[in-house]
Amino acid sequence: MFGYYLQLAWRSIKKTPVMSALMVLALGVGVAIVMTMLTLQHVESNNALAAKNEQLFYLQLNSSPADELFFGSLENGMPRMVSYRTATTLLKSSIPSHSVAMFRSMFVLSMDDADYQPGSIVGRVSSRDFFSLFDVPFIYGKVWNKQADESAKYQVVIDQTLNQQLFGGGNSVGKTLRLEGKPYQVIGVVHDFMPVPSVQDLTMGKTGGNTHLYLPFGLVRAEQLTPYGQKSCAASDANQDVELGMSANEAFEVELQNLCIWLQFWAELPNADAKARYVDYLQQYFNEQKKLGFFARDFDYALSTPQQWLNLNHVVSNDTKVTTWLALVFLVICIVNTVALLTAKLWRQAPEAGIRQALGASRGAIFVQNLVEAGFVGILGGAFGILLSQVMLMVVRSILANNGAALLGTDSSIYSTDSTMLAVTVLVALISSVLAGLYPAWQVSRTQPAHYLKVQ
Amino acid sequence: MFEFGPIWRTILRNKISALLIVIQVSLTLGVISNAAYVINQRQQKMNITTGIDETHLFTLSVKPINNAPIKNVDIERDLNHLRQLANVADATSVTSVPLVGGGWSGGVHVGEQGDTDFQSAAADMMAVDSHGLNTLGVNLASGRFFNEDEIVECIDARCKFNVVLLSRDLADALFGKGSNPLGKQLNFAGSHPTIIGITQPFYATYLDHSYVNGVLLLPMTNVVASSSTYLVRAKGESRDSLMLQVADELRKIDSQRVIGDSVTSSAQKAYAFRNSRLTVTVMQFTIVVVIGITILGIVGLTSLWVNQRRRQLGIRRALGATQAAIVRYFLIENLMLTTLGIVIGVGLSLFINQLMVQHYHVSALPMRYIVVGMFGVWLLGVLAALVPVLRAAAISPALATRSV
Repeated sequence: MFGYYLQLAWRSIKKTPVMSALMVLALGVGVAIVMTMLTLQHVESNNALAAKNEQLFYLQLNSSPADELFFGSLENGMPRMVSYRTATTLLKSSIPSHSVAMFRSMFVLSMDDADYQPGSIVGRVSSRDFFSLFDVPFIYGKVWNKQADESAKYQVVIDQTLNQQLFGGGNSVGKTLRLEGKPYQVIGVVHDFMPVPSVQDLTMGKTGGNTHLYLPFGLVRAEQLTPYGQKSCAASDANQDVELGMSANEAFEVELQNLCIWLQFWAELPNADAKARYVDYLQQYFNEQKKLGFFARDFDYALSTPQQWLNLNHVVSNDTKVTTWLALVFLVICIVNTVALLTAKLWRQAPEAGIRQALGASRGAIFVQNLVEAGFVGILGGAFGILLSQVMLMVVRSILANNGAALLGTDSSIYSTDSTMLAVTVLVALISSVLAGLYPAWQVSRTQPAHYLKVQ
Repeated sequence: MFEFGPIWRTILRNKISALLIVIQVSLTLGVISNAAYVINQRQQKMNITTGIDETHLFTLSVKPINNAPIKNVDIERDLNHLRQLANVADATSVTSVPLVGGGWSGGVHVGEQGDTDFQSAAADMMAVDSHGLNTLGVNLASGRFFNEDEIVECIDARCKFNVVLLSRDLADALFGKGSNPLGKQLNFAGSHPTIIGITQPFYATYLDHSYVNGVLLLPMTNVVASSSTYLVRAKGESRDSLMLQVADELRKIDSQRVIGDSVTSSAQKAYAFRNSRLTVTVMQFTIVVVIGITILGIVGLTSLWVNQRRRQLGIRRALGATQAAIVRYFLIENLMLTTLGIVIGVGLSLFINQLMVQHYHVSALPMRYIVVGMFGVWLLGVLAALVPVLRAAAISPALATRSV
């Protein structure tokens, strides 16, 4: 029976091609706009650390000076990062099972191979727990040892992509690359860790936190590494003034001990008890430093889970949210519109329905027959919508690319439909079409056969 | 004359179809007025005048391969060479890339903390050399710009500045609107530089003055010793070809360094506003399509209605009703529904806006958007209905009353 209904539906669509095309078009456009916006939102709201969301915490301390807030402080009133002095102290705590202090730094990368064209590369300078905290598995070699976090060891960990690029893949442990002209030994190769958004470091935009190169934290002092990215200092910080005539080393030491914030700090706290003890520890540290005159404000902190951290940083922009809501209202308009057009179309077929009923078809059968026709239109609309949404995403990508997404290394190709979104699209299209078909089908099934038989 | 009574009773007999028109009209008004407002706000944001000669400017950075510190003489050598090029209007070193959306900012003060006349403001700081103002293309409002011998060389340690320039908006924030702070002293990062000039307001690194009050120009060539950034102003239409030429020239001067990609200031600005541009495009597309869909819906529903009443229509015509009377009847019917939809739509617009204000920091929808939207949608409804109605009125009474 279903096959027969489908046949009827197809015949009916062919009978009124313009009207049917308009319905398919209207529903398709509605589905496409909603799906485009939902895809943008879906990509932007991805949480790559969801699996460990309850154990990982991003640390903020209320370290702004008394009379001003650090630039870029978040809604919770606290700065986004911590100072070197704070980070190195907190790294010593054994309460977290892993803790990571890190920042991005820029290097000139060259190889002993004279054919290799030297270029700039952004590397992540981090304490060794980075790989275990964020679950980045090693393919070859292992992480640097604990001493490398405290004193200079000229070692690096690279990811698969960089390994392919520099050494043509394979086990490159023990090979050498040059940063700022100095030789560094590769001691490990890890899988690429390129989440979008780069939840591990959101200070440089949606994907700015991802790097292919990792360096031990102990190099900071020896190589006088400075962040390539955000660094905020306080004008009123008494510790920051470098005296004229200081040597470069003395001046850098001042930079390491002042209030300026430039490091991201993550702690892995496996349970509530550890978290409570860690907060106590933070409070103790904070008050101690306040007594020393380092901090000026009262103790306050935030330990945000990856999801909370994404929300706090407004990774999904308000623009995207507003547009998504308007797109949903737009889909409702399209559905209402399809209801109207379908009602008009099916009403014209009411005489046929009357005759079928007179010949013994039940109301239910008429209803189902018309619903099949409505659903058919809906599926065509949905299919059209999926195609159109791909076109729209292409437009979105080109708009972002034309406006310099490549400028800061943001790859606009991340805005594409994955299997989840495809499933959601199909579902949205189906639900929309059934919703659009229910009323008209019901309306037609209620017609009085006598009315049409009379006129006939 | 106007058959309001009978029309209203007819509508009540056909509630659902009427309701569909009303819903469609109200949602359309809700979407259009809010989307138009968001578009307008974003466009205003994107159309800001930066005050710098953004279409002729580009930056590029140089970084020695062996981490050798860059000295002032190197920078001067590079810049002097670039200034000789035929298509270069001027060039300077900068501490941050113009319009990049964030950079070096901080508090600047007047007087000492605790004084009664102590004032603070947040400044967008940019250090340039004596060619800075001309390269940026910013005009002086009063005073003078830095002389060559006032440019400080900074290596590693924080610098002491003797002279600074403020943009007009920063001067307003620190000294009061329209004040003349020339010759006065600023309290900033442990030094007390003298203000020697005021520039017209402009945007340096930040494109949004919600964080900073204005720009502070400092006389300095390099702050990060391991790389330096040059800002070049091109003559005429030569920017794009000049970008390649400048990189080549710098490579020729010293091959032992990495020359970064040249980026135009226009590109920086476009990048900063790319999300706004995307929003505007999506909203504009939505508005156009929503209008099309609504016209389609009203034409469809009105056709249905008219067709359902073909026989009655024929009888009325046979009994002496003119074509004009038929058109009037359907138009009034349509007007009543559209108007009802618009009334609900105004409420809906305000409701949608209220939600956006609460959750997404959008400002309140000005009444004129609703009023314009109301008339627009109203006209849309009537025009869309006109098509099937005119067709219906043209039917001859004999044809309409004959059985199908």
